[in-house]
Amino acid sequence: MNMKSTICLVVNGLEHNVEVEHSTTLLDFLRDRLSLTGTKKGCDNGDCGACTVLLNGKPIMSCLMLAIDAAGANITTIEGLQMDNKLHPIQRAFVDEGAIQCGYCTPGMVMATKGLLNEKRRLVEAEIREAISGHICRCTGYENIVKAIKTASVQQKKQRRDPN
Amino acid sequence: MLGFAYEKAECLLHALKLLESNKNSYIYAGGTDLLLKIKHKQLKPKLLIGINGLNELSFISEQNEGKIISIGSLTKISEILSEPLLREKAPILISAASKIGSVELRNMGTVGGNICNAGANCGACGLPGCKMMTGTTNVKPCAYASYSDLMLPLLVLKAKATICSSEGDKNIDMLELLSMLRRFGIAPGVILKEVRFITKEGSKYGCAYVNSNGAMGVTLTAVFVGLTLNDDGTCRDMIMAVGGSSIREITLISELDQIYKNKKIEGNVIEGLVNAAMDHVEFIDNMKYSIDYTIERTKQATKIAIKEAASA
Repeated sequence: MNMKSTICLVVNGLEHNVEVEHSTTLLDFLRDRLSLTGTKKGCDNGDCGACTVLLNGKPIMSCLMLAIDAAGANITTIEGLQMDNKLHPIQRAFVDEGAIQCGYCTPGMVMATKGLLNEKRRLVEAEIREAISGHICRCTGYENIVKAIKTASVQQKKQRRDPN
Repeated sequence: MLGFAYEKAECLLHALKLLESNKNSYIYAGGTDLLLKIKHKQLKPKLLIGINGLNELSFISEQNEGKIISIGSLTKISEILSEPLLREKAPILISAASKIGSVELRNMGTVGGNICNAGANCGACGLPGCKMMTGTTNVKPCAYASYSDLMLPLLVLKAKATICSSEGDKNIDMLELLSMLRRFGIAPGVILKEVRFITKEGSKYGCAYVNSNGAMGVTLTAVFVGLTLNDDGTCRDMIMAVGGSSIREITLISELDQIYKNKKIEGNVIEGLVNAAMDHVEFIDNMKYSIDYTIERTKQATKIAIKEAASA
């Protein structure tokens, strides 16, 4: 039985046509084949959120998805967030609010935030905490992460009102 | 992960043909439960049959002006949460869906996958001493083996399911579907197509949960209650579903009419219902929680669910 196939998918705006083993997870594909190591392998079980990427704009756990099942999809990883070599406003908010210590959970947290802000304009704290409920951080105690997401949300609102 | 092949089904018929002609093959929808079991070596499939993208299985629709609601098995859990029709007609389904995993898992997981994993979902708790995590297959699930989150409200809604196989489509009730569930999904050669239920005027619902901790914690006990009231506010019919707490995945209780029939659901009637319901649950203890605690938390959850339904 054939255990490899060629898939076509867009990652961070670039189209890739790659042969993958059927049993390769999207996480391993991103890290090992495309060298996009910003997305982290934490638990590899769907529990910690470190592997979160956006699939067609929605946050998913890449450790629990097969790469072959992402054929035709539009994937955004943490590397895809930067704008003209500058930090994305969400990344800037995480830095400014002290929401990063070891940094291992950060890419997943940032991508979850991006997914949240893709959907919602106004955020209440409960929604923020729900959005990161699938993410484990051993360092920060989450408070600064919540603050950073609030800050990012305010920045996004300001930018929408005044794009210049 | 151990190697396996993957084939994307072009349509439902193709998926059924692949299932039939390949032993040791499994349907891959959201994949969140399936890939975990493969990673933990509880499953060693030869072939996964991808059904994502089969639009014929991904829908939420109404008929008869909202009296019949149908949900396709490939509908994502997140789609349940954002559906205004369900918010209006079946809020207990929304409540159950909101407890499933995290935002990410709800974007991936499907209604069908959640229902079909009612058989046993243990091994993913990661508790120390959990033998299932070592890939051992001859160990019974402990009480952390979580039931399907959506099965309870669907039972209380008296939902029906449509399954398909090489013999064609078949409509069954949720209890019969529960009996078809195996340790790793639904019976071989069968695909769950949709679930549907009738929304009834005068029906009220309530639910209560006891979780271990946080969003990714395990639901230890969940109780769902459905009441149908007479015009004078007394109770005509009641159904209760208890998940967790028991040696069985789900306990369905509907024979308490001696206590509730034509009575208002309040005070001593509620106490009587709670005590009688507990006689139907085959309680077990597990590694972490004693049987006394399990009984007490189930009693409290049942009381809350009944009160919520009565005041809905």
